[in-house]
Amino acid sequence: MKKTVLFWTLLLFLPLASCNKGGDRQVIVYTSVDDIFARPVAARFEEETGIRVRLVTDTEETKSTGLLNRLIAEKQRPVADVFWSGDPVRAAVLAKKGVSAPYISPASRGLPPEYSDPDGYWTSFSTRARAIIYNTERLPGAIRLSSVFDLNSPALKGRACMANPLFGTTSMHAAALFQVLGRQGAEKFFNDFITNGGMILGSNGDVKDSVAAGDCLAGLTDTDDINVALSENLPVGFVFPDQDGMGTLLVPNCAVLIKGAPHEEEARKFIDFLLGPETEEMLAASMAAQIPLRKGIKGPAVYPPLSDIKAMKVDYRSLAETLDGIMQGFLKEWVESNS
Amino acid sequence: MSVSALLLERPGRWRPAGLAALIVVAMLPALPLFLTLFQGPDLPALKAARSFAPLAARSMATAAAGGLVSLLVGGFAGITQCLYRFGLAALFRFVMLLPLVAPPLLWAVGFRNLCRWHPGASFLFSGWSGMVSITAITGVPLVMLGTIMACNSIGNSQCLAARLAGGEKTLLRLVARQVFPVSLLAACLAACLTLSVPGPAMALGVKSAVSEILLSFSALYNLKLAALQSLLLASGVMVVMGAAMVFAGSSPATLLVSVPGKLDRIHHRGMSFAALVFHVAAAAIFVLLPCAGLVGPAFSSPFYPQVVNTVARTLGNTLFYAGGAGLLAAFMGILAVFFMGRFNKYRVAGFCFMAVIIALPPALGALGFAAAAAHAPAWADLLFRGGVSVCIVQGLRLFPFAALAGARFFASMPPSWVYAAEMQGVDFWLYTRKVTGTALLRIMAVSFLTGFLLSAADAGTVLLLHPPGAQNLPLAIFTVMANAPAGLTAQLSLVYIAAAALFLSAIMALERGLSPKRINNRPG
Repeated sequence: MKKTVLFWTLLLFLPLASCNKGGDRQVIVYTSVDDIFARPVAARFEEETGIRVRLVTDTEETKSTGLLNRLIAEKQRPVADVFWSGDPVRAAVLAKKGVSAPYISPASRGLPPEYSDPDGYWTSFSTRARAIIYNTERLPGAIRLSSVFDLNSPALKGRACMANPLFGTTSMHAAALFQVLGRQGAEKFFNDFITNGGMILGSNGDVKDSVAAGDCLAGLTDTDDINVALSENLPVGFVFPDQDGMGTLLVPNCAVLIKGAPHEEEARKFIDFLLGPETEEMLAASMAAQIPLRKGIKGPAVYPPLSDIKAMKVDYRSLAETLDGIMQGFLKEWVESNS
Repeated sequence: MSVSALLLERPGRWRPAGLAALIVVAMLPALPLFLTLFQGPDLPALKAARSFAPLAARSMATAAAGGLVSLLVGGFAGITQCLYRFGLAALFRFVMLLPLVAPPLLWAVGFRNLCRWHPGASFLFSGWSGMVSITAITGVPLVMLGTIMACNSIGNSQCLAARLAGGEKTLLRLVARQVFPVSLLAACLAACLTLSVPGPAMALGVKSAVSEILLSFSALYNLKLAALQSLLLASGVMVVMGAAMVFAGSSPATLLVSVPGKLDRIHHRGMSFAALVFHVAAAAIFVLLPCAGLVGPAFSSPFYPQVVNTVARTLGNTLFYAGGAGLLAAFMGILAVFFMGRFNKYRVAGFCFMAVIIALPPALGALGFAAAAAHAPAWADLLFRGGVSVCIVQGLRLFPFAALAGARFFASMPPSWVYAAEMQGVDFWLYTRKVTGTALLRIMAVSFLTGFLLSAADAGTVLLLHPPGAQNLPLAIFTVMANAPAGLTAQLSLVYIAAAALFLSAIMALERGLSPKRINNRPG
C-alpha cells in the first residue's frame, strides 16, 4: 500500500518537475530553416547571451507556408518574436501583411544590400541555391544536365522529379521562373514537366531520397539537402543550373522582427547574432553547407563561393506578389490536377 | 455524509447520466472545430473537401487491408498463446506488443531505410503497400491483446469438451468463433487508429487523408477546410466502427470485462510447433524487419552528441505531456467504470461510444483546441496555448483504455463484498478507501502507464498544439526525419523503442501482480 501511495505521489509531482523553467529571458523564434541546421545556431546564441531560445520549426511538407500562415493568424496577439525565414519571399509577404517591424541591425554591415529589404523589414544572410540533383550511378553518361529545362528532356522521361511547388523553396523557385520567363514561358515549363512524366513529390527531402534511391534520375532541390546526401555517401551529384543562361536561383536566409514581439529586446539581440559573421561561418561549416553572403568568410568546401555563381536576377520583394498570384491560380490547379 | 457501500452495486439514473457526461466531456475539444463550419459557407473549402473524398476512400481501403492482415495474424497469435505451450511464448508476446507502444512513424522510418538499402523490399514496404504493413504492425498487437482477453473468458472445461468432441481442429474453430467479434472490433480499431496518424504516410511519401488534413491546417491554415476534411474522415470511421459493433453485438463488452481467468495451456506436438513457427515469422516480419531498417543506419555513422541533446531537450516535455495525459485518462477511466458498474447495458453502450472516441482522428480535438486558442483571451493562454492543452486532448481521447483496464478489475471483485460491508455497517467511503481503493490505485497505475505510453507515442496532437520550443521526442523525430541523415533519425528511433520496451515490461510486471487470485487474497 505504501509503495503504491508513493508511486502516485511521485506521479502527481511528475508534471510539475518536468515543467519548463519559466521567468528567465527568452526569445521565441519561428523558423522555416530545417531543425537540424537551426538548432545549433540557437544553442550558440544561448551560450553567448544566456537568453533562452524557444525554437518552433516546421515539418518538411509544410515548410515555410505553415509558419507564415501561423504568423499571419497570430498577428493581433503575436507569440513569436523573430521569424528566421529560409527564404526572402515569406519575409516579404509578412512585411506586406503588416506582421513584421523594420529593424536595421548594426550587425548587417558587410552583407550585400541587394538581397535585403531597403526599409529593414527583412535582412538576408547565408544562402542556399536551387540545384539539380542527379543519380551518379543510374544517369547515363551521355546525358549532360545544365539547365532546369533538361528535366523535361526525353532522356529523363518519367524519371525527373520536383517537390510540391505550393510549399517551401520550390514555390519560390516557381515564382522566380514566372518572373524571369514570363507567364507563358513558366507555364510551358511546368506543363512540359508533366507531359514528360515528371513526378511531384512531397518535399525536397523526398526528391533527394528518390534520386539517391534511383527511382528518379534527376530532380530539383536545395543545396542543403544535396549536401546531406553527399555526406551520407549516397550516389548523387549536383549541377548549378543555367549558368550559361538565366542563372541559378539563390535562396538566402532572412531575419525578421515581428511587430509587437513579446520579447523585443531579446529579439533584436537574436537578429544581431543571426546577421553576424559567426552565424555565416557556422552555417557554412554545418551540414547545411550554406554559402556566405559576406566576402571573406570561409564557405563550404563542396560549393563554389558566391562570386563564382551566376545568380538568377530576381526582385525578391515583387516575388511575393508573383507567388501570391500563381498560388491561387495556375500552380494550385496544376498541383491539384497532377498530384 | 454517510453513503451506503451498496451504491456500487445499485442501479440508478445517475449511471447513464454520468456516463453521458463523460462522453460529452471527451468530445468537447472537437466542438470549436465544428463551430467553424457554421461561420458561413466557404465554397473553395467545400470544393477542396469534395476532392478530398477519393483520398479518404483510398486511405480507408488501405487501412481496411491492414486491418484484415492484423485480424488474421493477431487473431491466430492470440489464440495459440492462450491454448498452447511453446518455447519463448512470453518473449514473443512482449516483442509483438512492442509496436503498440512506439509511434507507427518509427516503423515507417525503418521500412523507408530498409527499402533504401534493399530496393527489392519496396514492393512490400514502400508507398501504399508500406501503409498496409504499418497498419498491420500496429494492429497485430491490438488484435492479439483483444483475442487473449476474450480467450481467457472461456472456461477450461469448455475447452476440454471441445477437444473431446472433435480434437484440436474443432477446438480452434469454436474458440475462433467465440473470440471473433472481439478480434474484429480490435482490427477495426487498429485500422482507424493508423488511419488517423500522419507520420507513417509522410515517412513513406504517401499522400494520405490525415496528412492532407495536417496540410490544410499547418500549411494553408484553413481551419474550415481542415474541419470539413476531419468530419468527412470521422464519418467514414464512425460508419466502419458502427457496422463492426452492430455485427459484433454485445458480446465484446461482456467478454472484455468478464472475470479474467486463465486457460490451461497444453503442449500439443503439431500445434505447439506451428505456433512457434508462426510467432517467429510474425515477430520477424512485423518487428525485427523494421528494427533492422533502423539498426543498420544507426551504427553506420555516429551522431551520439545530437542524440543526447535531442533526448535531453525533449525528455521533460515527453514526460509532461504523457504524464498529464496518463493521469487524466486514468481518472476519467475510473469514473467511467464507476458509472458503468456491473450493468451490461451500460457497459455495452459505454464501450460503444468509447470505441468511437478512440477511433476518431486525434486531429479533431487538437484542431478544435487550436481553433479555440485563436479566439481565446490572453488569460486563457495557459489552457489553450500551454503544454496542458496537449495533456487534455490526449487524456480525453485515451481514457477508454483506462476504462477497459478498470472494468476488468471491477469485474474481478465479487459483489458479495459490498453486501458484507453493508451488513457490517461499513459506509461507501470507508469501503472505497480500505477495500476498493487499495487495489484501485494499482489498477490506476496500469491505466496511467497505458495512457502514458500511448500518449508519449503521439506526434500528431503535439505537432498541432505544443507551445513554442516544447517538442516531445516523437515530434522531434518527425520534424528531422526528412532532412537529417538517416543515422540520426535511426538512432533517435532506437532510443525511443528501447525506452518504450522498458515501460512495457513495467506494465506487464504490474499486470502480473494484478491477477485475480492476488487481489482476492489481499483485500485490505
